[in-house]
Amino acid sequence: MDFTFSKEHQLFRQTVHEFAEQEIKPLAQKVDKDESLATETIRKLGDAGLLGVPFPQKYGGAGLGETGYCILMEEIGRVCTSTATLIGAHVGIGTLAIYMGGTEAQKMRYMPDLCTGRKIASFCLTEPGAGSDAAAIRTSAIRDGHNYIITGSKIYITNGPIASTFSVMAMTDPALGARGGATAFIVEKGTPGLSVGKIEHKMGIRGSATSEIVFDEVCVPTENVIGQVGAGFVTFMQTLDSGRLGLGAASLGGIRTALEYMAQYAAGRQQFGKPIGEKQSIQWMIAETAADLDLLYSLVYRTAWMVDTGQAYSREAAACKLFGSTAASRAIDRALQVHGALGYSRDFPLERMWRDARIGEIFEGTNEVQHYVIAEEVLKPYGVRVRP
Amino acid sequence: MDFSLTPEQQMFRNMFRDFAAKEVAKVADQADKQEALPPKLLKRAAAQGFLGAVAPEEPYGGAGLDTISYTLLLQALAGECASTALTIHVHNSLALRTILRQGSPALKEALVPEMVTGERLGAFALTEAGAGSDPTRLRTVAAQVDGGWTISGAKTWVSNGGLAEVYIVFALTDPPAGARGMTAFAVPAETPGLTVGGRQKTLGLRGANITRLYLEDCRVPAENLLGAPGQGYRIALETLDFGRIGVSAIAVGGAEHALEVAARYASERVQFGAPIAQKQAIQAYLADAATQLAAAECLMRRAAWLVYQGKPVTREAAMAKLFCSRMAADVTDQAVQIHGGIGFMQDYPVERYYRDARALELVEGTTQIQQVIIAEDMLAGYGIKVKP
Amino acid sequence: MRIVVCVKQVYDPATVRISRSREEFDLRGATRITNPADRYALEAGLRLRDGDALGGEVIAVTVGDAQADDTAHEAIAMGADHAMLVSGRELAAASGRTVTRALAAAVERLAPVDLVLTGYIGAVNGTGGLAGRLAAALGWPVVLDALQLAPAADGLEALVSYAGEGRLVSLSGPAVVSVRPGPERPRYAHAARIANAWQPGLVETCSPADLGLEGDLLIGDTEAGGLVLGAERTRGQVIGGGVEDAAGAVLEVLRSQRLI
Repeated sequence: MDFTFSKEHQLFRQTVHEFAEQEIKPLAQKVDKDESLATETIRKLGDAGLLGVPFPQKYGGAGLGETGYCILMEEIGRVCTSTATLIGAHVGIGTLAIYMGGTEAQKMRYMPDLCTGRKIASFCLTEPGAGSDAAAIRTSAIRDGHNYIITGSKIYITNGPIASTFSVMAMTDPALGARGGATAFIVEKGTPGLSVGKIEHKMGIRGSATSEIVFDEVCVPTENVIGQVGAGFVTFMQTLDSGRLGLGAASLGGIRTALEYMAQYAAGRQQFGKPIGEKQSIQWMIAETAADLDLLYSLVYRTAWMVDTGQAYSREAAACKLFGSTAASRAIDRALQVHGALGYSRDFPLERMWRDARIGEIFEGTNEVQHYVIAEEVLKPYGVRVRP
Repeated sequence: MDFSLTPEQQMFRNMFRDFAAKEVAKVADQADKQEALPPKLLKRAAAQGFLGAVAPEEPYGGAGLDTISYTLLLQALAGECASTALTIHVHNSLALRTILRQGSPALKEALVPEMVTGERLGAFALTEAGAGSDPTRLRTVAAQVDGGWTISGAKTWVSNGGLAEVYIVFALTDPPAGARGMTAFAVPAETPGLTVGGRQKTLGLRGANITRLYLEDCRVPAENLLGAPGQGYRIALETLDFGRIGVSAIAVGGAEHALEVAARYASERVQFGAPIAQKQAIQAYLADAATQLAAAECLMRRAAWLVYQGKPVTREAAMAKLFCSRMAADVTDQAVQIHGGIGFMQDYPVERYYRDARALELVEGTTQIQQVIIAEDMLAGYGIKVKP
Repeated sequence: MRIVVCVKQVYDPATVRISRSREEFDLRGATRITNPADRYALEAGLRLRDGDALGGEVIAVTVGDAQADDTAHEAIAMGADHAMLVSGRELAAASGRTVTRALAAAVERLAPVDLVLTGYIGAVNGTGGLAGRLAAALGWPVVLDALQLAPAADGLEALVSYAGEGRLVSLSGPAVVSVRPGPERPRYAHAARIANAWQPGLVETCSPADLGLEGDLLIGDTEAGGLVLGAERTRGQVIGGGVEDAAGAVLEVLRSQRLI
């Protein structure tokens, strides 16, 4: 069993690490304060080939696979969750929906611009009445000659305000229910009737743009159906299955940073005549965090390997997201506690990390949904139906 | 064993809840976003007697609340706004009460009436940059001069800093003696040489004023000495013992409200064809939270009752603070999770409760310090002297 | 233009410790990286090539042991067209003269070469002498500390940092130029280039013998005599007292150390 990364992945990690330290980290506090990521940063990500990492080079991607994508998300996640979220939504689900469900022509047409960052993608699934219950969507797509007319609205869409390419799930045949009745479409910015609605102000990942997207009789040709009519639900669920692994990797980055902060502070802060790192309660927090880190690291990269070698990975990816998000929240919470009042202060990055981490247990399938996914996998061979 | 509130306490509770619902609820969100309590709020609280909660009716015109009723007050206020509750708690529990118990008759006559009416808000200045969990390492010094004392030093994390008109300041009058050389003083805000430093911006409790404090040769008359020289450490510990009960009440009040809101949301939010309150996982969350909350409330009330009985309370107050603060962090976290994506949006109050609760494991002695205090008390009986 | 860029693999200074007791470098746990200054040289070469209307070529050359192979591939990932690694055990801790001879031999082997670029100094224990020695070995002119390079009518123009000023130097014909880091960072290796950097045929590996370097030609001219350690950092001084007294004391300290 060889656990070493390939030379390519090692160099990639080194490069992304440097990029993150030099280009992303210095701006992280400002991004949180201003509630936006600079277009300059997005351009730099694109120029370095970081917006299409897992996709084959023939579509404009870097061809570094899921392992490369996880390395990217880990290194970016170490310094700025808002940036990791932008990438996660753009690459991990927005573009991925086209890659997983689209025809060759659609991939060749849309992916190159997305991989270079010339255009940004977003994934439009959630609605006010359809959160964890994604099948309950109401946005409709009615066939009209050679086109579909899409009407409805989506909420909590990451990259909504900055995206040019929207992967949208809508009901083409409500009578069939989501499985068979939902279709995925590509809708491009500028199409009449498509608009950005309410912009959300969030507790954390404030640099990640989140908004409502409104479809007011948006007309798209049938060519914009991603793959087949009626295949939307399956495409979108498969996309989410895969995308959530990237989030696990971003959590891994967060835990690494939390551990570094804890260790540094434990060594430097003196109370009761010695460094607080000599106190068992601090040592315990550090040990638990380090153990979680090692667990998640193995889980994330083993799952990435499974993806890259064509194996089934749905359960493991869900475990990465479930475990990763809670472990990150815990690690950052411990780091905050170790730093005492300084950890609670807005002059220090930990409180931002704490606010940012909280969304991990909620988006891209709440941790409750992850429980279903895993339980379903385990119980299927025993004939037990897991119904949410 | 009678667990019920007396008719008078029930009446107080209703009155406090009314006030909170009428006056505090409407300003809570704004207080957080603008990082200030509206001045009218404290005036109205003063008019109700809340700023003289711990002062006896004779001769100061205070509300003279028994300890249980006092916790009911803080609990009710915290249910709507933790920043409001904290401000009133610090004034009463840490400043006013200390002057009442330790001040000379002349000092009390000079300060207490104004504190009771709210004209003079109190603050507590113990912590310094190098003295957090270990308060014995103060650098603020006080030297005896003709007719009084001069105090010089710098304090951090002073709650009610900037708003306060009187500061309880701890300084070393005999530096070589360490903790035994610590003395407490009441320093009016108008004392020349006293400067309020920068506002310390925080993750939560943003409506509370927390600042640095600088003292440069501040002259206070002899009558402003609290207790006697060298008694400062003992006074600090005793004050914090009582203060922990207040913090526990704030924890319980906030968590209680968050849980109510979450239960209501779970009953109304329909996904997968039924309210999510019908899901076992949600029921488990609610049940666990409610149980933790009930246990916390009992611990908090028991500590308050012990004070009321004139009994020592160090261990019980620490246990209450330890348990209640952790419970509040857990319950508000669950409340966010039950809300899903909405729980992360600043449009909804639940994320504020989550951020506010996080402070409680840090203020007035971290969780780790509470553990030390409890262990110390337990192990003394076994012949072990716990060294922090 | 055919441009050769010399890139060296060095120990990452952040991971190198000094053992005071043994008076030597402690390299346990030290990792190796491409010399940071050389990346600026590579960037300069890539820009010249990219701006060359007639097309151009950048070839990275590195001298070292087998592990230096990573540096050669990194240069490809950053944008070099191909690379040459002169490798052999005898080159592991080679002295300046040996390395210079190896590089000169590589340049000659790669002829015709229009320009050779080097970084201005090697990390950890560099002396900044490579460009001069290499130019002497090749019999070419040398320009040190170039901040910028641009094509000119009959060759190149270099903006050189000289006595605190910038000076323009014209070059017509092959030269060795050492590159000084400017305000802009070298480009990041593009992710797709990283994925392709280990494809066969991009890095040519040769031994010193392949380049005609054997026996006496490999003998070094210098030998490390040991480490002379600087004064150990002592504890800082805490200056107390009131603001005015403390300010006065701090000024005294700064004056006594000739910092102001």
